[in-house]
Amino acid sequence: MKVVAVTACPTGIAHTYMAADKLSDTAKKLGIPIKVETQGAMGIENRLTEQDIHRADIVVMAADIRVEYGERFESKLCINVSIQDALKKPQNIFSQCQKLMK
Amino acid sequence: MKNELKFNCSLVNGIHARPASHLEKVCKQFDCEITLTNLRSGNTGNAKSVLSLVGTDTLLNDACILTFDGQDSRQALHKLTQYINNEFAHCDQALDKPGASEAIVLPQSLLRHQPTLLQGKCLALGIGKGLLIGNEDINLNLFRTEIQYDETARFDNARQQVTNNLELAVQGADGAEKEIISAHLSILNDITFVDDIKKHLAGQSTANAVLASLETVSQQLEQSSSAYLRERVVDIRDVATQLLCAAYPDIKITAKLTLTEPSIVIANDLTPSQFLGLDKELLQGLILTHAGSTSHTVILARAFNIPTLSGIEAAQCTDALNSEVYLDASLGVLAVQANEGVRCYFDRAITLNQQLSDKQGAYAALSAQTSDGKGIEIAANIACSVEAQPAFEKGAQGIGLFRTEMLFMDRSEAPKEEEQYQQYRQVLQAAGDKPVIIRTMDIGGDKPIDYLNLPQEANPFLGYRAVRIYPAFIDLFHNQLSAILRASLHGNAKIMIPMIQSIEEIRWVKEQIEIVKNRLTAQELEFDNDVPLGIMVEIPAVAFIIDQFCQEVEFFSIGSNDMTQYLLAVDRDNDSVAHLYNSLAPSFLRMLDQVVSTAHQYGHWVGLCGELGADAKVLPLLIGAGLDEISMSAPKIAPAKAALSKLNSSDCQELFEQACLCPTITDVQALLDKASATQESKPLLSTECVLKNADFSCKEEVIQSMVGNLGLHGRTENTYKLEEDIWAREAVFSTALGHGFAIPHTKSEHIRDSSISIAHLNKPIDWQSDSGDVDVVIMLTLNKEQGDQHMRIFSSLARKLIHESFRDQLRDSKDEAGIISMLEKELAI
Repeated sequence: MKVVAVTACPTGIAHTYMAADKLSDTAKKLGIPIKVETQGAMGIENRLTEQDIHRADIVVMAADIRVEYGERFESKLCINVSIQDALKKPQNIFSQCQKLMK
Repeated sequence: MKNELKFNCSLVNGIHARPASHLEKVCKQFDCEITLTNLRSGNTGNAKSVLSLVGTDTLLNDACILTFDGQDSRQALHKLTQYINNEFAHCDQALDKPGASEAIVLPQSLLRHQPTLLQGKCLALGIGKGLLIGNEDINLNLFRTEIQYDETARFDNARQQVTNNLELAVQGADGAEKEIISAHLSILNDITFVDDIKKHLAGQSTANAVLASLETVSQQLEQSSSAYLRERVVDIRDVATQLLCAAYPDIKITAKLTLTEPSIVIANDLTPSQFLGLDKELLQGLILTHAGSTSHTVILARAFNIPTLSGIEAAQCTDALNSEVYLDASLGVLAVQANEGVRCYFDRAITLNQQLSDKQGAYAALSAQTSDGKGIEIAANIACSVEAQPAFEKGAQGIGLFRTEMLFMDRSEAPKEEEQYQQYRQVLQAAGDKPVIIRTMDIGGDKPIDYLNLPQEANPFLGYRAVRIYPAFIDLFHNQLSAILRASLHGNAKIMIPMIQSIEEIRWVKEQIEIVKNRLTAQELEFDNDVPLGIMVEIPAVAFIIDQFCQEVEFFSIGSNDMTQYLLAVDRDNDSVAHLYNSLAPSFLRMLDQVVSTAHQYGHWVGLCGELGADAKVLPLLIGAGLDEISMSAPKIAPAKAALSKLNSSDCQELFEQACLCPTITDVQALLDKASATQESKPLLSTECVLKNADFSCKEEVIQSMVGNLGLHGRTENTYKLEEDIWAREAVFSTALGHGFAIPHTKSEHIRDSSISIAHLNKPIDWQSDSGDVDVVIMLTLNKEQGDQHMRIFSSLARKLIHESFRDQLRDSKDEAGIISMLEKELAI
């Protein structure tokens, strides 16, 4: 299973980046390849390319605000979670992903 | 023959004293008996008696009947029908809602504790805590006495005397004051009240009769359902007190207030002498219900650093009397019945305030100079001699303005020369060799003096005041000059003349000084023959002939308040035009430039006294203009020295030149904003923002303290607004991270320099989240304008916080420096 994710929080100062790292770290532990785009106060970083999205099996949107350029994921399997979920129960998110994939 | 008139009361505040006296006046034109019956309350009252009318407890929309019984009842009905339909509704205006126009946002860290607050208006800044003490409780029982001789005559004389006084007063009053005096007059002539007293006089002394009637009427009013009417008891009491004082002139009821513990005093108004009689160590705050910002007591309160509010009535807080209250003048509130959280907020606010004044106080002893070493004199404005010593303790390098008119006010005759001499000498001795500019009396206009009998004027600011009245009161002026010249032997005095407008005037003054000197020589009294003479520059005309004044006087002091008012033709006390009053007007700045540069060409000294000098934001312009001295109220001196030490004089000069070229006030303001933004910024990480071993008891206190700490170190100019931004983010979802960490944060326009603040708490607290208690708080405050570089550090710190090892390092750091060096290393700063 290959995952791409986008994180975004209201002020874009702290939680966007914490959630991004939390998702990357957890995925690493679980042996799941992942790339996380952050949409914070510094704008979009680690931007997901068309190719990244094309190759991914599932998209995780960890956001408390509207995600920019959401239309990129229109044809993809998506799971929407809150920033809080990403920070507190990142493992649950990946097991949900696995369930959806089945 | 009976007639009736039914109507609904259309008065917002019901029939209280003011409309009642209007109604009474109309009814008294007729001989028939007129009664008002309130169908809601069931009360009936004599419509020819204000107190009876008030006693009917008539509120807005109450159904009422006026009954007319007697010969001319038909005419009365006709007249009253017209009156009720056409005039009654307009005879009273809705009361101002106190604080309604003020838009102060109260901090969440206070509001979340659900405080009981009374809103007032700030007159002198600061926060205080103490017992709420009322100053109005004159003990009327002191008058109680046995029947002496002819009690009816005693009462009639007293009533006549008070009537005369009030009638005289009503002529000189206007607006609200006039209405109040008129209402008092009608109470005094009220049939019910007077008849009731006279009934008691049959078997009692005047004092006991008045007190008995007072009690009856007060009880009636106190039962009223209208808060406004209940508060009118004060008026009846006031009238009764005046009657008693007139009836028993030998009984002195000087309401001397003695404080025994830290206190906040509430009074209608205090005279300056009453204020000076209070122990300033114990006086923690003042509420002067009716005082304006120019009242002399208020000026004194500012000089003594006593937080002061107006606009709160004693009747609003009777329950709080003699209990502990907090007065926060910056927020404009009095907090009564404070719960634990509210106490916590204010105790912390008091601590922060104290820290700020300690920090600024360190500058008090330093000489005032810019970062590049240009010196400027920072002096104090005072209004009486007792202020001098505290002013020098607060860092004054001189007295830039000694307003002597207060010596002449609140008394029945002018002070003798000897008394003035003692006052001036005290100030000069307190000053040592520092200069003291004594301004001769600025009396008249808005500062009337009873014993001079100056005429009422339509336009007092353009009228008969200051130097203009000296010729008519020549002895008064000579005595003052004489007192100053003699006192000058004891220090470095200068004489300054207010409201000078022409060379003729100053030449006349110089002749008078010669006359006084000759008189002193003839009397063989010693004096200083070389006291420098200067003028206030407050009339725009003077600015154009400064070169000619340089031939006549030795120094100038620009009175920024009056100068702005006269230059822009704006009365700053008139709400409709007050917004036009602004000393940043380019015209004002060019006037300043004209005065200073011309005077300097002739080698003359120029100071500035007025509120403008104390405005830290304007300071760079005043330095840039090249002023030799700035004079302000004493508490502002240390902060001004602190602000001055961060300015560069040639930058200021350039700024002033640019400001003089600006077409609008907005442009000048934008220029100042830009200049303050380009001042050297503070580092993101600094030990000053680390609070190790902090004793905070709740989330509110943590945020209040951490934001307050940023204010303390000049990183934010508006702690309240920055706090508001932090709480706005907190409202989205709690910033607790778990593991005992929380990261409140905001991107705000109210932080001057982006900052990372860290608090390590002694005891974990509830962060109001489901992530457990918190003992390490990292607050990120990002300036909206400061770019990505800070943001990158913030995001990298956020990322690191999810790692246990990093959190442990942070928590285990021993001290402030340890935390900072660890963060600098980890964040590669």
